[in-house]
Amino acid sequence: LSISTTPETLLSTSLLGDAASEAEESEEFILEEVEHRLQELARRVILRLKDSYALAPPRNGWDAVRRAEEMIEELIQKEGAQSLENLLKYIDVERYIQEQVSLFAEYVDEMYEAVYSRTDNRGLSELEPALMTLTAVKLLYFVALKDQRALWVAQKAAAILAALRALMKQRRFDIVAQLPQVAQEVLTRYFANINPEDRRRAS
Amino acid sequence: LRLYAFDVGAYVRAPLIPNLSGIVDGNLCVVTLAALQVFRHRLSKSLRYFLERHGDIKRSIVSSYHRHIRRRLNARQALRFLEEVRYRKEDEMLYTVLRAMLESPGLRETVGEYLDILLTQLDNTHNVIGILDVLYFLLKEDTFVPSVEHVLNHYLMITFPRCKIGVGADFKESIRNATRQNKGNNDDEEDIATLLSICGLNAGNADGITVVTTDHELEKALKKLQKDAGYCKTVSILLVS
Repeated sequence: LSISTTPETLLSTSLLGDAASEAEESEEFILEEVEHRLQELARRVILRLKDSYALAPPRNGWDAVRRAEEMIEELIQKEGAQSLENLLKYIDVERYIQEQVSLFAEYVDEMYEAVYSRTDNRGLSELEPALMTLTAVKLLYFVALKDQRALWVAQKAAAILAALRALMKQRRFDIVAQLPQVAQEVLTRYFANINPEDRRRAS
Repeated sequence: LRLYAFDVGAYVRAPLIPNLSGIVDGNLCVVTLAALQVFRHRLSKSLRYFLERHGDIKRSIVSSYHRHIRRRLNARQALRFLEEVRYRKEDEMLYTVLRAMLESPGLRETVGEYLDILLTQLDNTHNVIGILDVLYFLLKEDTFVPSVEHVLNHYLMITFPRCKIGVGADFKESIRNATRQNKGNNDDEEDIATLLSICGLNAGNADGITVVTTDHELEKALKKLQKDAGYCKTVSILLVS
């Protein structure tokens, strides 16, 4: 009998197959769980941020983003960050983030098309800063995704996005109008670190 | 054997001109220092104009070209559209160089980290106004002009190994004061500086010099130089697009 025809090996290949498909299924399950928990966390961030902004209105865009950043950090530390981290061990985090960022990029494109084809000039001036903030957030996420050293950029992007969502719900367009500048400053700080390399190449 | 000298238009569009390698192949080629100086000057001005008028540019496109904004355009289509609708405006060159970089395969490995982020972001954006906003955030970096020059020079050196870049006389002073406002006027100082730098070249063992340009105004400027000053007699013009 050759090894490929022994019942034992046949049985083991079939067991292998089962184990493999189980692993796939469980990853999908964990991914769903991760997504669910993150969405829940995001919902709570916006909710609390709205309350906080209502209680003491942010002085400006920078203040709004700083408070969003603190709120996110606090919630993540309090609310089961450990269990979330445990779950993340079982999924391909990088691929997951990549997918989310490309979904977000598509969402931003759709927003542009919707806003610029349906909004009149007066409405545009209110919505343009929000759109530009979305573009900036997309840029920041993309930068963080490409550059392992730039985790802080992703954290800033999340805070800017949270602040944008809360402020839009409260129709605080005056402060939303400052968010593109907040994002620009983050980008400038990031490029100030990578540019020496580019400067050498360019000269 | 001819010496082909690129003016600024041919220089920035080199990756976009399909038959350029067929023309230059086997001959000599050159980008004069003056052409590079014109390039730096014009691209910096283009950049400044764009950043200062970003909102106005968006508004003028929204009010005049409604249906284009609704359509899903990829970055190349969007830049091409912008090049057309901003024709002869100061910001036009910006869209041209970005399209040139996006459309040349193989160029991506030579761009630095900053331009890579810029080009990838353009690729990831499918809306004309979205593209303008991406540019607004990324073009504030002061390395943009030298980075683009680095990439274009690299492209030329790979594509035309016998091309010399940055030779000839220095025209920085006269170019710095040049404006494009009286473009219809043959006395455009940038064109004259480019031509003078080319006419002053030593053709070496080449039979003559041909200026490669995308701008028919340059031919008028050359004729004027030849007629009025009796200068540049052996130089001819090749219009490409």
